[in-house]
Amino acid sequence: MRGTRYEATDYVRMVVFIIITIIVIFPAYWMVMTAFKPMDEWLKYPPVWLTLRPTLDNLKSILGMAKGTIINPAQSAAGPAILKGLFVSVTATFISIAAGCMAAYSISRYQIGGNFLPLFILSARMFPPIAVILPLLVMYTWVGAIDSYWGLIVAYAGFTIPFSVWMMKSFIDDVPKEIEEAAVMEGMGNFEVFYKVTVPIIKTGILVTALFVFILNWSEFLVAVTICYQNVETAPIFLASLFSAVAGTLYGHQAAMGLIIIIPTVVFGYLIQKHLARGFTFGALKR
Amino acid sequence: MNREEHKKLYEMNRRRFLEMTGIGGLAVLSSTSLFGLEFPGLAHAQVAGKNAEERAINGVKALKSKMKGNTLNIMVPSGGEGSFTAAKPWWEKATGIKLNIVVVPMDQIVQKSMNLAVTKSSDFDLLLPSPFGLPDLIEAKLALDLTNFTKKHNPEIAGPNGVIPPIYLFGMYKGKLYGLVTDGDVNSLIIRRDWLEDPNNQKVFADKFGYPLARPVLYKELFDQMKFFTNREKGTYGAWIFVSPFYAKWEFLQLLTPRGVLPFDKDMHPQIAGAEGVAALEEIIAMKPYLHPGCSTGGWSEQYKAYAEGNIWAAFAWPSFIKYMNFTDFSKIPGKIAVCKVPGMKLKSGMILRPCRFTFSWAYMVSRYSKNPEITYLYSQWMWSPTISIKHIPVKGGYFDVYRYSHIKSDELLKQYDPHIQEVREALTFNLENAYPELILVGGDEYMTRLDENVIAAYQGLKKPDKALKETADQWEEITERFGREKQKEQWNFLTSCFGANLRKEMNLPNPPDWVEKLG
Amino acid sequence: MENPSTAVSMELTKKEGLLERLGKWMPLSLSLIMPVEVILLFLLIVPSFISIWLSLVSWQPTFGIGIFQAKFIGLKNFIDLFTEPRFLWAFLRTFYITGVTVSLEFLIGLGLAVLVYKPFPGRTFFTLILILPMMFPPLVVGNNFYMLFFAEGPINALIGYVLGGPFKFDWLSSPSYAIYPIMIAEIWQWYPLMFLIMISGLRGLPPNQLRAAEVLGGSPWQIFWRIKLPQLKPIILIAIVIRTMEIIKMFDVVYIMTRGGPGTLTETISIYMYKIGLKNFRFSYISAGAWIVLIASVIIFTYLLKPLLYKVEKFEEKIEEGAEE
Repeated sequence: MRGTRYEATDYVRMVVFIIITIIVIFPAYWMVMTAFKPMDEWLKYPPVWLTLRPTLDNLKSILGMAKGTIINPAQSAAGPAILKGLFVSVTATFISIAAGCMAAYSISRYQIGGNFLPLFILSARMFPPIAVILPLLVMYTWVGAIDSYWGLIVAYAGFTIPFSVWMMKSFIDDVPKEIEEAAVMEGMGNFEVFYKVTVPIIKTGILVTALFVFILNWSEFLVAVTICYQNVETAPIFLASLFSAVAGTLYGHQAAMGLIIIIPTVVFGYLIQKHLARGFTFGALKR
Repeated sequence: MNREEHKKLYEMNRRRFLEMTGIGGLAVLSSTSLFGLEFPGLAHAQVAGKNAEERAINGVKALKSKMKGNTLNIMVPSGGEGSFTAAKPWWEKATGIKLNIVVVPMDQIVQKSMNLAVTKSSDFDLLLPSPFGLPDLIEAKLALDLTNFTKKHNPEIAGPNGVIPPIYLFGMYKGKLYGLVTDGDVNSLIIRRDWLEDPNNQKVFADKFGYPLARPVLYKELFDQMKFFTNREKGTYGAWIFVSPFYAKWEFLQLLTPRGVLPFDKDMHPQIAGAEGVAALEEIIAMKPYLHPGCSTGGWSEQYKAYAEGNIWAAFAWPSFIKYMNFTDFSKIPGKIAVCKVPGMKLKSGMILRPCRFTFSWAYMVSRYSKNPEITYLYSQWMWSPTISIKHIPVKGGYFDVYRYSHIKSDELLKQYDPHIQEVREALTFNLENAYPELILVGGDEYMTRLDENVIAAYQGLKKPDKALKETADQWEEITERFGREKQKEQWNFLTSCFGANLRKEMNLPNPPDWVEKLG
Repeated sequence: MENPSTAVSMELTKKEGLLERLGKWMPLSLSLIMPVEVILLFLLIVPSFISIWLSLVSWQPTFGIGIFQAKFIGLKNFIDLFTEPRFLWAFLRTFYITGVTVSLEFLIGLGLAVLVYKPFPGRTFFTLILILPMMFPPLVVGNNFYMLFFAEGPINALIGYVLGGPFKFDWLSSPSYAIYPIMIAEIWQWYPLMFLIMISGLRGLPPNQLRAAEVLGGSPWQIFWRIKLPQLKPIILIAIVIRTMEIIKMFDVVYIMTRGGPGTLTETISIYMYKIGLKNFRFSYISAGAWIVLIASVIIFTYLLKPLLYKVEKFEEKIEEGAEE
């Protein structure tokens, strides 16, 4: 909103926000710093606030471009893990959103399953993942899904569907039924109404839900590490492997990897940022 | 498609799903009774070859035609792949069989191995668990009994180049061989040679304590030395002795065993809560003022880094520690350490008992579900053989330390640890021959974790020592009952025969099965 | 909308899409929900049955028998869990952390949303930055805060500056205080979610009512408390439910920062189940534990969500009434 005149209190709020931002960003700043610190500075005392010897070694190491020493061994490159992880996350997100959207429409418009089904779907998310892992493992072995792309994709889609369904249900609830009824009266089939009328209206909500589902899939660790051995790798799996027998946890490398990991999410978030804040009424309010 | 066809398609799909589930269920049920066929008791003509390496290669050549696929899948803990990748080209040249080395982070190895057991997967042929994790994998029917292969191919366990007893015993379970122990992870005592030989130190110490400053033979001597060298203002500490999670339990066992007390008696009833146990725990607590502050949280990489700073007198550490303290790009004290035999305690009879803890380590284990079990075994025999192992042990980026007499005899190899070769040789030989196992039982980790937690609680002052040990004993009884006392007794009584020969004599323990020596 | 009838599905014969063809023998409502049902069946129902079976038997892979040959012991696992102090502590601890963390996240989110409500210079920039923490994977957040709260780390250094002397308190191995860095990490990571939800909630409030109240002379404080907040209740409730659901399962952050230590003093349910289940392989026991957690969660959430399902309609009516006046 350019051109608005700001009052004194507005400037005060800006200052408040500057302070808050500094506090909040400090941990992120620390991570960025660590990613570029040489190894002896990671846990040095007194702490190194601003490194005077910034190095790209950590970054190069995880990208597979540096030679390893025994103290600072080069890990296998992060590239494959990132690409595979992206592939899995994006596909799973897509499936989750698509299926979730349709289900949400059904629940919202047709009240299918009454009050029970939505809660049942939601309860799928309440099960501690640790306990799901073993049955999942057994089942996956029966169908040969271990260490396979589609196995992981289906798992991710399934685990995020409750989220998708609930979030999009609320967006759909927000859409006045009159619009849909009008479309039906103009001769559209019901399914057409769904994807030609309703979906475009809740585009914002879909994007926002997609962002969250993507974040959940992209950073998921437990299921991935259980199901995958060598074929399929995701970014968090790679991150967890950044540990050297001698140097212990490779903080700098992990920080560097962390920076890389947040890039897709931040990019995605930036692309939909104008929609971000509009999205969350959860069907509780109507204009 | 009309409605009828739709219905048929739906039916077909549904049936197929049920079939899959049914087959899956059947598979689970049947595979519990069906597993890799073994050939018991056939007369084993010894395969030709003058040493373990040759026999392995010849064995592989004989079986190669029947091999399924051409690759062996190996699961290696991260940090240990150095030896495998170094040896890989030699193997591939000698046999033409490919190796797929999959590196798994250390804290996921246990999980992933057990997953293989649960899913009965053939994805991996060779695994590298620690000996204390072997019973779990054996009882979960993942580990293959290698006794017959060993008798057939003779990996030179005994003999002049043999594995130092009792190390190889730690890979056995109830008398059968399941794992080839390939890492000599004894915890030797390391002290500062320069502080030891400093005449001023010697004078002041002798004045203060009434006996000369020397390599400690008794724990009491070590404790005195720790007191002597602790000076918090200067920032020097008596020792780095672990009291951190996962490590504290070993310290307790290390102070219990020299008292001549075993953790369990013949009926698997815990003996840790008695007077000796409490005394051992109290000794640990009494050490607190003389330990480096990182001891209560740090693991081995912290120990290595701290000791390398140069302000600690003593540490109990694995052999690789010796190497690192002499790396000039890592340590501030290269050439300044002395490797010693572990101290012990005097028994009532006057004998000094000096058992040395053997902790962690690695063992080759063949998966029962492997498609090529014998060839996989032969690969591990090849890696384990005197001639090959001596080549890949010194490789950087591996985990393995000396475990054969031929390794210890080699000046070349020992030079990699420390320039004072003879001292290292004597110390390591003594410590290896006097090694005792950790709790290598089913559920071993459970027993150890309970002990660990309670020891730390007592150390931090959250529980009284006798209460901590009593609670541990109760928890141990519960674990034993859950697994079946008879089953545990069988392994425990076998385990007591796995102590070093000296220790067995002094503590009146049974002898291990002798079929290994008979192999020659 | 009337219930879908065969008349409606007849309409679909007009166009020949795949789903239309499916729709011939399945009403649209069902076919829309089919994909979700199939996936959930595969992923949820079957593992759940296996899990129920596991919780009622005594099975560990180290018993050497197949899962379906295990001994049936009925509710013994459940009873053992209820008498196991470590489990009960983990349970209580998790709910304690949940309560504190979610409340603080909510308050922070609400506070920030209110502050951000009226424009000020740089508002978009600050909003974007403040959302950032949510985008970090939990592993990275855990590592980061581990480093920050290290005994010789930056946070202690900062405290040291304030206090005037070196401050080397070992947060992460302190029996009484280890839990706070964990909570701080969680709050740091997830307050942006609440923040976003509150922003959109505040922006979604019908402006007429608010303007009317202003005109009638209500102070901003009164408007906030008596008009805005009550209308936000449904949103707040859903946000809290979603967030609580996730934090009960929290694992990565705790695992990296303390592994549940010192001892077992920061063990949450997930950490406990991880240790006992994946390290000691007591899968039966853990399955029973998971069901206890699930049942408890379902009870709590049904109770929490019930008013929501009702109140929505009531509020809609109220708002319409208010608008009409």
